[in-house]
Amino acid sequence: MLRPLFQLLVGLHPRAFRRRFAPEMMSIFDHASGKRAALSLVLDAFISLIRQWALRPGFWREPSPAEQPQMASAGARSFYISESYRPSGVALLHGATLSLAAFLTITLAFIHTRGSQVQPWLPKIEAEMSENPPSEQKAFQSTPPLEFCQGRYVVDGQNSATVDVTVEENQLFLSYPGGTKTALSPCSGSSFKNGSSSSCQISFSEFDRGRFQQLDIDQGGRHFAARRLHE
Amino acid sequence: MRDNDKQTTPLSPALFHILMALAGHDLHGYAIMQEISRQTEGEYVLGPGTLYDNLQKAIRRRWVADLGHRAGDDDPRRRYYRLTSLGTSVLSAEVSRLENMVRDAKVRLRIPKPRRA
Repeated sequence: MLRPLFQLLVGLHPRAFRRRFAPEMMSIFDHASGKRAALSLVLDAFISLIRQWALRPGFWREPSPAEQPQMASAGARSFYISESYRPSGVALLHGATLSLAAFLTITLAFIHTRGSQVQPWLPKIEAEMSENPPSEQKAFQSTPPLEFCQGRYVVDGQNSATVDVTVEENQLFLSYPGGTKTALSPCSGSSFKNGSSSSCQISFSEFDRGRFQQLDIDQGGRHFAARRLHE
Repeated sequence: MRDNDKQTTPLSPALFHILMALAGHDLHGYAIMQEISRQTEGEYVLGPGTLYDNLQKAIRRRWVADLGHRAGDDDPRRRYYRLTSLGTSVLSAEVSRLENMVRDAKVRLRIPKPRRA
């Protein structure tokens, strides 16, 4: 598994480097014992790849035989200090592109393997996500299935006051015990209005376990909040 | 110390260790890594990427010669490297520089610290 990856990384090195050192690098990899050693060699090859493309433009091509005697000519400066070297703009661009590509590849790899044990920070992200209230996790842009609303709700602070929401022939009805049944028509999202009203007076929220848990009613300038009664 | 030597020192730790490893024998890449690990008692571990990057530099500067493959080696992919006379003089210059630094540091460390009144 790691050998093809290492071979790929070595193969992506500049041609001059690859031609001279690739077989030896593969030989060293083949001598590595253990997965940990192999992993460190893969990492080393990755760093080397970035270094060769970003910082070693002078080594991208092999010197021609005609250049070699010139390099060794007496009195000429045949070597230079690496500390005074400034990479060219093209080299920096290559390096930046390569780094960006590597970053995106690694990021995508992490995204597609989330939940595995390799990424210690992913459980934290998932935990943070689960802290959001369920109602925020699911917002209905269009009218939800009416069965999600169906059930008995208890008005907050008034344990005896209940509201029944029923579905009959694909129509939602709201009724108080002993009161009349009011037909509701869809308004927007999970909001409804009674037939005669022009404003959305009744809204369902906090969707959890396949049912809305919260019912809000605005009636006669008053607001009532009711929670689903679990039987 | 010659002018050229002044221009090439200080050497990076990796390059210094590679030249030092090659000072004794002609070695292939894997053997250079092992020799450096032995010399530093495992403190300095060189990966192949760093090794060949520095070897490439050393070959271009003619400090190290690439001897190619050696017949009879158990792995035909290995190439052997040898320290050239130029490489030897660069290594000697670096060793002299380090000696001077160590001497200077020892002298400074002998100076007693000023006492508080």
